[in-house]
Amino acid sequence: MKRSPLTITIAFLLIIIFGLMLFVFQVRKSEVAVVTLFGKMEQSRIKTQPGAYLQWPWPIEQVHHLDQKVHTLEDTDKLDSLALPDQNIILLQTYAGWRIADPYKFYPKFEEGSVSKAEDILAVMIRSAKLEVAGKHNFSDFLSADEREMKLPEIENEMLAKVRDNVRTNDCGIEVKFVQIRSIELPESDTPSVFERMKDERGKVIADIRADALVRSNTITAQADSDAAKLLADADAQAKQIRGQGEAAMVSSLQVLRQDPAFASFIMDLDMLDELSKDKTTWILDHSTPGLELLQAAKPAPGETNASK
Amino acid sequence: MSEEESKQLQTPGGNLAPDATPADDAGTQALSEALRSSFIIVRVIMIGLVALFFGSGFFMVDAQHKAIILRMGKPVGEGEAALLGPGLHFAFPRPIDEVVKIPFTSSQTADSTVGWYLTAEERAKGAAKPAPQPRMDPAAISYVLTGDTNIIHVVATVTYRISDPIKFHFDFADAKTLVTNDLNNALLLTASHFNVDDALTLQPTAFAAAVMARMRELVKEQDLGVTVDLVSPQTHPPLALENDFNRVAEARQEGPDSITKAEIHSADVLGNARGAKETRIKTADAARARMVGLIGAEQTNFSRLLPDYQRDPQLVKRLLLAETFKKVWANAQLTEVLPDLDGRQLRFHLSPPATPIYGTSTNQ
Repeated sequence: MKRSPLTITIAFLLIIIFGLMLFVFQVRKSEVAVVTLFGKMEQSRIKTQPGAYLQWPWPIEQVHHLDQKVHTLEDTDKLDSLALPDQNIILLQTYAGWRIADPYKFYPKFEEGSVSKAEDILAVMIRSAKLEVAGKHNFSDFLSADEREMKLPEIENEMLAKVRDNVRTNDCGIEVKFVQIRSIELPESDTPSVFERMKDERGKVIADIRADALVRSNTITAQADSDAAKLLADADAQAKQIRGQGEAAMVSSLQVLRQDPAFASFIMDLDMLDELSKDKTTWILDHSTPGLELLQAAKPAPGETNASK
Repeated sequence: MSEEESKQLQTPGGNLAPDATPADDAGTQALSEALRSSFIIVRVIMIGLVALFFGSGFFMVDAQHKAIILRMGKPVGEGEAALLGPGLHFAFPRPIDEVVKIPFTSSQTADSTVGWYLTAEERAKGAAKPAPQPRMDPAAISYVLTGDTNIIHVVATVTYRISDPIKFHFDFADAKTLVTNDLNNALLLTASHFNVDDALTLQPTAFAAAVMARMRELVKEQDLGVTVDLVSPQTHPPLALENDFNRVAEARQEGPDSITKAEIHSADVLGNARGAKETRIKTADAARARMVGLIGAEQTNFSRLLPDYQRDPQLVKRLLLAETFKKVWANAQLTEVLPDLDGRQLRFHLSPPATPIYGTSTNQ
């Protein structure tokens, strides 16, 4: 029977594909593979680097893939209360990041490498660390209006160190990457007193704001009044100085007028009279006024009223 | 029987061998035909399997996703180069390659899950504010504590970009949840060193900046492979104390109002004073000018008339007086020349025009 090259190629390819599927396994990035030989685990059979590896088909060898990503373990018990040395009680929740660091230790420790079993144990370790660390810190270490005095990051680091110690002691092949605080709250029974205090503080804040505003507005007004008075005083001083300059000029002209003071006075009187008459003026004159003496000659007879304009 | 064996039963001329019976011939031929057909079917199946194998390597990526090819478990390419965008792509089928599709938009968001009076689900549904309670049940309602030990509510949304998708998707089992928890931690930590008034009203920008700084610090420490673009926190007083905080806000508003009024008054007073100052100085200037001008004119007049006056003082005086009176009378509204009263009393109605009334004096 004649064999076509196509048939041979296809058959060859299929053999390769099935061979690959049967004898090769992959380890993905972020995975590790634990290969057991007849159910027995050996350190040398653990594949931690991504790539393709050879295997004997089941039941000789069995490949168990473990996820080496960082897992987030959230503390779900919101009511987990911690007693502080200053008799305060807080409810503290954390979250932690962990990964499988040593599959050889991890796999047998947690029932075929069960992540959920590992997290159960880790949650206990974190709770223990929380209790231990919280037992060393007063309430004021958790909250501080001054950022420099705030110790929360230190507390987080202390918890991380404690959890790492516990993990090391248990030798369970886990690496804890971080432990962070997720929430800090107070027991329900403490909140009414906090509300009362906050309410009182609001009243004080309002009083302070109003007093401050009053002081500031009074200061502004007083300053303005003072500045205005200063300006007017300054204006009066300048005006007086200016008038003084005019008067000084007048006095300096006396040299000329002293040649005949009587005549100078007469001229000035005339000027004054001229000035007086610039508006509509009513003059009531005696007939002895200079220039009106002529009227004296036309004196009316007794009992006769005579007014001249 | 194989095709080869069936061929061996035939003579070179194509006739059946002498010992083969006609019945055998027919059976053999049928078998031969059947085998030939089977081989063709097997060949077609084999070709189909190979085609299916390679054809399964083609895959589509839609606009909301990116894809990373793992070749023997390792990502092909690094960073952005490892990401395959929307369109048709090819990868070798398993077990050579593996395609991992990841949800990807240019900008991702995450909402905080602690600190607010509504849960994230309730917020998403647009639930109404719960009724104010005189106490906070931590199992039902969430909040944060401020640096001055007050209770406030805070919620935030972080907007971030996945700058290293390989780290984001392959180094973390649930990176999105981690981003959310980091946001929770950033809100908690920031509130714990802010005063209640600063967090709520006085320094919201500084509060947001501190949350953002903490977020960036955390994602950098954890090497999450994301870049934080924006954190928009929103703060709220406890619902039971909302009115008290509103009154503080009103007082804060009134404070500047009264100060503004004082400033307006101040501006008025100073403006008036400046105006008065200017007027007073101008008046003084005018007085000085008048005095200087007047005395100058007096000097000139005096010097001009003095020689004549010295020659005949009476005549000059009389002349000057007459000239002045002419002008005076010309400008006068009313000139009354009194006659010889001769013991009578003179009274004037001051309302214009002034008209004299002559009567008998009671004093005389």
